[in-house]
Amino acid sequence: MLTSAINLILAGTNLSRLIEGLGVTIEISFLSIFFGTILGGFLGLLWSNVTGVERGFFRTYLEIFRIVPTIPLLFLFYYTFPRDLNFNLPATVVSVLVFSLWFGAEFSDIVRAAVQSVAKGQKESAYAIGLTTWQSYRYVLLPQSLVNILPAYINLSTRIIKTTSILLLISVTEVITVGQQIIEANSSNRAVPLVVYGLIALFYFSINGTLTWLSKKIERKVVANDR
Amino acid sequence: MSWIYIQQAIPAFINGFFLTLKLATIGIIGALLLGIVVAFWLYYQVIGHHVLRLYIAVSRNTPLLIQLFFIYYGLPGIGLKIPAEQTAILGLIFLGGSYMADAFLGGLEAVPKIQVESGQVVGLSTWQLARYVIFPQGILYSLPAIGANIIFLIKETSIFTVIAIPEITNTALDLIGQNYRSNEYLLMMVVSYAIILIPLSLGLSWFERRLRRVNFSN
Amino acid sequence: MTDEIIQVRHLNKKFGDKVVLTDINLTIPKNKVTVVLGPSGSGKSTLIRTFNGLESFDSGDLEIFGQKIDPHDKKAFAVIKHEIGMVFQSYDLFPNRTVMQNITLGPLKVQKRNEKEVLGQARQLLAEVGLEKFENYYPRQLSGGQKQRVAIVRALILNPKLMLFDEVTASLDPEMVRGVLEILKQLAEQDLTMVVVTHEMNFAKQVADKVIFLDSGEIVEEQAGQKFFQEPQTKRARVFLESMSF
Repeated sequence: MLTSAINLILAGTNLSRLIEGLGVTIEISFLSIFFGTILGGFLGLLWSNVTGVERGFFRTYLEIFRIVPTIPLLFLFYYTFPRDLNFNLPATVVSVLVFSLWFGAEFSDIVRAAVQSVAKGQKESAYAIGLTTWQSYRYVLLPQSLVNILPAYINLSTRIIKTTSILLLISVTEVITVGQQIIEANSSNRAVPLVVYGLIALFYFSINGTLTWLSKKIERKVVANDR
Repeated sequence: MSWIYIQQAIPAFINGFFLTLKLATIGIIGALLLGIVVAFWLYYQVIGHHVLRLYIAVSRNTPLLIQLFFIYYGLPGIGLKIPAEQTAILGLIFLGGSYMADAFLGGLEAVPKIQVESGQVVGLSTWQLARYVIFPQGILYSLPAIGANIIFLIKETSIFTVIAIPEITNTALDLIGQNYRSNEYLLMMVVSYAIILIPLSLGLSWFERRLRRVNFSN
Repeated sequence: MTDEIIQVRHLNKKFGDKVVLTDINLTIPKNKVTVVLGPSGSGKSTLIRTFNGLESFDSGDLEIFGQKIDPHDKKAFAVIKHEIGMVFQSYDLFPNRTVMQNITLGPLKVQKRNEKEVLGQARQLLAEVGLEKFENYYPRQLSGGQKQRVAIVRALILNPKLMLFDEVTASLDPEMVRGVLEILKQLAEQDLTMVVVTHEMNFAKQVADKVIFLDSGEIVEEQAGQKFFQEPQTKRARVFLESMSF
């Protein structure tokens, strides 16, 4: 049964369709990470340098995206907003929008924490030799926070990639949706779901596992550098 | 926004709310227990810790949704049929176990070496050292990460909707499908999660602040 | 008066409810070494940090290079801060930049000076502090004393009109202290205007043209250097000097 199921998946266009679906998953993840990085980097730098009311604004943005699970966010942007505000966006665009906002919120916090964790003396030294705020970010604070940001950044990216799995709820033809279609077309073989979902798990595992491995490697290097 | 729809949906949401709470509680307790075992296993490098590393890697690097599909739709292919609720709990423990293990392990490793050495010097056995020195301190260091994991796992329970468990998210999505209204139900859904998550999040950060004071004071 | 580089009148500062500086009146003479002494927590560091805007103050007048500083204007120091060099206790070299990159960042990016000229001056200054071979090292490869000498060069290369030294030997190993103090002495002989916070009493005796003695945020004595050490005018200063010389 299992062997025939494996053969079934390898036969015909099944595997290439799955990989195509994986392409959609990767594309949405990549675009979300790209836009989220710009958004979060910008907000995080601003955030690291403000106090009072402005800080409250950043905190609120972050907490909303932390508290509300991703599924209602997705539905809000997919069903509610388009109808109430009278616009129409394809599901893929909505996905990228929601994930970018989410990534941006989380990333801004990472950037803020990293910049603020650079020792106070560094900021004062930069000031004492006359650097402007922008110059002290450019030459002193950012280069030092970058190595601290990278592991958390990669970790956040793997989270985005995993979360794209819920896109099957809003009819984006990503890898799991394709998997379901293949399972439906081959419903006579009861071992097909095991093989299909096992394979998809392997896809995710390869991508995220590589990223995690990379971030661990960077982290070790950072620790070694600090000594 | 219409009150009638909200009113009519309240009983369904209450059921969903308590189901979410129940599944999350069991799953998180299971994940904590699994996490402690795995963390100690890795800390002491007992035989088989490579297998546990693989478990952590698989658990952390694949989505809960696929883990659930694999258990719920995949395993029957080899004759293993697990009901939906058990699948949900199993999935949450499988996912959460690795996160909790990492949190505990981080805490154990944060215990200063000098503490362990002092324990050895006064003649504590390995077990006593773990029981009186490493574990009580390690758990303090790991509490912030554990708190974050609990919130993360509660949010993840919304994925249970994909195997048709009538928890909060499923209740909302079902009602949206039936009545073609999203505003009311999404609002109720967010409120339901907020009732669990906001007090929890505030409580955890209060707890963490208190803890930090205790830590600094000695 | 042109020979006074800083004038302070009735300056007050609080951190929250805590008063840290009370009614400070002083002048810092040009081309002289002013040493600020006092017990730990007396406000010495806070005082000299107001001279380059690292600390704000609540009320009073601060005049630097004849220019009045508005305590509430965050940009008040923007134009003059690179004319005031400062060296900190914890050196605070930029760990992501080599020795040479640490030194040249200010002159190149702030003063926009010619790179060749800057490199020349940097090498000359490094040679003067005995570090000519270290220009491509990273801070983590240097000892504390070496780092502190680089920090001094990093401040000097801006050709400041005023140098502030905030307990620059306090976190150094004893055997490193002398080398750094020697450099400070050389600078004193070159008629650089210096304000030095220190606990090294022998060094203070040797270089001080003027002493400002601070206790609990107040100036207890403002005095010519030799006179302060030979005949302190107040009881608090006498007690302090006795406690420091054993």
